[in-house]
Amino acid sequence: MSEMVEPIVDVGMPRHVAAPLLEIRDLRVEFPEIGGGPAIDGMDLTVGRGEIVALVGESGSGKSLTALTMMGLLPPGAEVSGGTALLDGEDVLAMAPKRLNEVRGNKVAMLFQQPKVMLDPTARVGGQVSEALRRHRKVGRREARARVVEMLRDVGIPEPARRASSFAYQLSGGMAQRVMIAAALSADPELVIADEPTTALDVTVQAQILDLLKTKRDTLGLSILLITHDLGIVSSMADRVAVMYAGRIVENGTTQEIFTNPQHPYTEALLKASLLEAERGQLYSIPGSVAQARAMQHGCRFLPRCPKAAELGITAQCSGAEPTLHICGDHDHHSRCHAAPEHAEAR
Amino acid sequence: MLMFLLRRSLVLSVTLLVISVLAFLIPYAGEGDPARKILQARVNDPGLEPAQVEALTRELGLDRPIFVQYFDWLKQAVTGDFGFSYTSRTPVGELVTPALSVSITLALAALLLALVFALPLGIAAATRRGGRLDNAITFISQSAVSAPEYWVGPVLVLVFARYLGWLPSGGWTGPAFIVLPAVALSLRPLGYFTQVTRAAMSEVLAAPYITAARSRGLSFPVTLLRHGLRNSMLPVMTLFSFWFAGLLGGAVVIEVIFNVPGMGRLLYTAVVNNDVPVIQGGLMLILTLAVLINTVTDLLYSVLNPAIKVTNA
Amino acid sequence: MPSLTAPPPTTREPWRRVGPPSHRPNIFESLVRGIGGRHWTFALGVAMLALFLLVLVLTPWIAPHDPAIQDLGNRLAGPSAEHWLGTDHMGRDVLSRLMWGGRFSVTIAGITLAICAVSGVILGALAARRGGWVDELVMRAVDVLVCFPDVVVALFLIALFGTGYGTLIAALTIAGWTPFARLMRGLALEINAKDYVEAAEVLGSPKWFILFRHVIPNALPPVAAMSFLRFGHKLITVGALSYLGLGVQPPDSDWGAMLLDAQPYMERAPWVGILPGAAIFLAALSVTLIGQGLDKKKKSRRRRSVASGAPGAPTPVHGSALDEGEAL
Repeated sequence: MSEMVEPIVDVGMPRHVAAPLLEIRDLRVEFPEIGGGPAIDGMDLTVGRGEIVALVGESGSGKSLTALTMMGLLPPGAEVSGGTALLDGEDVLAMAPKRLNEVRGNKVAMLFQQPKVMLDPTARVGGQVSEALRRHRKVGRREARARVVEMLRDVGIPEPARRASSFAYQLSGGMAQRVMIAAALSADPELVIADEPTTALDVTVQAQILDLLKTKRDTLGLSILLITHDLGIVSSMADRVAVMYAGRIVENGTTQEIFTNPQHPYTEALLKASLLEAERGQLYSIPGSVAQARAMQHGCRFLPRCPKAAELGITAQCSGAEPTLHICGDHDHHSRCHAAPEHAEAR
Repeated sequence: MLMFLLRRSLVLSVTLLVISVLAFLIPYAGEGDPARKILQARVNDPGLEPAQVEALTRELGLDRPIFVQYFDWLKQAVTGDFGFSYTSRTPVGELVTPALSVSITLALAALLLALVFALPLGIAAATRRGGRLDNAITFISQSAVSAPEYWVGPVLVLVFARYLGWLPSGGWTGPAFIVLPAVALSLRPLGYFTQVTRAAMSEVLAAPYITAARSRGLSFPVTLLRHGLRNSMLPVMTLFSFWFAGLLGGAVVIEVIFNVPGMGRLLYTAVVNNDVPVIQGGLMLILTLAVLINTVTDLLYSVLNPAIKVTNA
Repeated sequence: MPSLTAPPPTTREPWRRVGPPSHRPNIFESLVRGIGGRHWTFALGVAMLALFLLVLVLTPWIAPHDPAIQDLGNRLAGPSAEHWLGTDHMGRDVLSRLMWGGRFSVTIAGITLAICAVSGVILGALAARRGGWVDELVMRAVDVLVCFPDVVVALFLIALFGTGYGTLIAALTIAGWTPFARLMRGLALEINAKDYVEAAEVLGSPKWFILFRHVIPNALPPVAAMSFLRFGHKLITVGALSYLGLGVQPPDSDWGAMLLDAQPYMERAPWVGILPGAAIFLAALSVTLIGQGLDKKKKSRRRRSVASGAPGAPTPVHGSALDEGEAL
């Protein structure tokens, strides 16, 4: 394992920036009471400054849990059992609760899957938008109100002054997500973790919200960790992609590399599924489930669902030892598959 | 909303109709001549000669069909005129008004006291669900709910009035007189308020918008105050007003024990002495208020909680 | 393709344990076997109630004295070997009177509870099943009656019909059925909407079969929980009316009437005025502990089924299905 750590340090670091904004190494999160192995099991991920990194995978692979862990908002019963997550050089996992409160909304903000239930049903929208601002920027009530209207206009909400005094139930899903974006950006965070921000929205609204996020990245120099299972969104948004399976990253690389030259059978399957769906309206499903993989003691976790191992006749190797996340193809491209050619700087 | 109002006012009027018919029939129940009982309420003279009774019966129209008499009675009743009390020889209205204000004071004192303790207890239990504190608070609330006030009351009197002599044992002539009855009365609502606060708060704390608020950097206590309280208070407030309506006339035992001149004791003594006009007036007032307060609460609930519209949609 | 044939991909969240659909134990199983899985207060409640019932059933054989025999030379005596809990203002044995009085309190509370539960369940199920004007009528009646304090209803009835057991039971029943109706209506609507009931209907199962096979077994645990909770409330209200001299009439006596008798002697012989109240309190507490223990178990089961059924959706945490607060 130790020899693996070295190359990862510079993985995905955009060439123009010195240190990544978020650097997760060997993260482990467990549910001790439930058991069944770690939900996140030795995960590595970096997000550079101004970068959009997509974290993709099926439901159950641990994506949302990663997001909550980065916010220091673990669901009840979850425990971090190892690893570090450096945010701007400071380990989020080791922060005292008080420091976490200072960081949340200030340095890192979060967007959620179902914006409407993320807004307090009994409070007006404006107050929630200004919450982070007032918490972190020592802004008075009156000034905050003016800023809220500004911010709401900025995320494309018509009649922002009127909307500021609306309640969540009066907003459409798209409006609510815009409000959540305004709330997330109100204190100028450096990193936004967006957990399936458009999954619950109509397709047309999805595109608008994604555009908005991209514009914000461009104008504010935000970094975005975009969690999604929709590869269409990934291809239009992300600079880099990390594919998560059963609690760990199985492949990562630039978006172009991943889409044109996938090196892990799971990624291939995901791509195939999304292509089929897009082109023929046909659903392709990967046989098996993530849950099975968690029961695996050793060997590749994707093996029970992997078509490639049998094809290439390397099942014995795959069941014997779990492959490491090694460089393949582009120097920025890593795969956790025995079948992927293990040569650095090949091209 | 309009449908709601229409429906509720229909229900309210039917209820009042039924209650008023039953109240009207009280003089016809039990022993004695109903006409005499009714006359007694009207003319405030218990020692009528049979000849006078006959004359007055004709004069007041008490020989007419019973439903005509009912409407006569109702006409006077809606103006608050139920006649004279047999025992105190004063108009019922003059007895009921001060009694009601006493009951309102006592009910508010008891329920606010209950709320002051129940809110922190319920919230503390909700934030430590399943923990030792939660278990202890739950057990306290279960005990409070099971404690009869006519047992707690006399024990309080024994300890604080007789043994320690700190507080008066009964009566209603100053602020100190409120303490013991209010404490005794507050125990059961305290238990229920605690349980409802705990349930509502646990539900709210698991809500997604709490996570969202936390993600903006609000500390847990601030989130609790700003988003938790407001969202969990509606069921508590509903229960509060339910109890308030109930205690206006329902605090009979405590008012009797502590000699508090409220509605409950007024009604109770009237029933014991068969003081028909007071029974009629008191019952009509208490039951009308109970239904009215609860209707208004339901109305307020849907106005104050925009979330209802979402969940119903 | 791997040789392993695997189930289709699921959308379950990994941290949610998913089990087979849980078998809903009937009430006896819940009572007998369920104690282990519950909080210890539930077991305490069961033990207390069992002790109470045992003593009350055996009273005619184990009561140390005749509760009516007076001994005016030995009034308000403290506890002794002869009178374990002392004597009252007429020299009667307090322990024996507590035992005999408890039989009245518990019987009256039990009878009214049974009437309330049965009529409430029937009306609630009817409202849910028939809908329309039946539903409207029942639920509007519930809306109104639920606001009426039991004691005020009792005073009303006493003004009309005088005191007596009939009046007492009627007073506790008039508003007492409403929580059961509300609960049952909710449950019946929920159960009716369940897939297996729909399936049974489509398959042509007779109505009575659906009722006995699906509706009643599913509704029983919450109704039982509600019954226990209401039982405590009935005990307290019966006691209140007796305390006011409007409930159990002499020569009969229950715990409330004993408290009333003891009031003038509170200072001289506190035990006479404290013990009957303590008996009501402990009996009410025992059923409250049982009722809430049953309710809690039921809720956690429901939450789990919701959690595994709809991943990603916000998990509703049910507040108590029982209107715990509606007890005046």
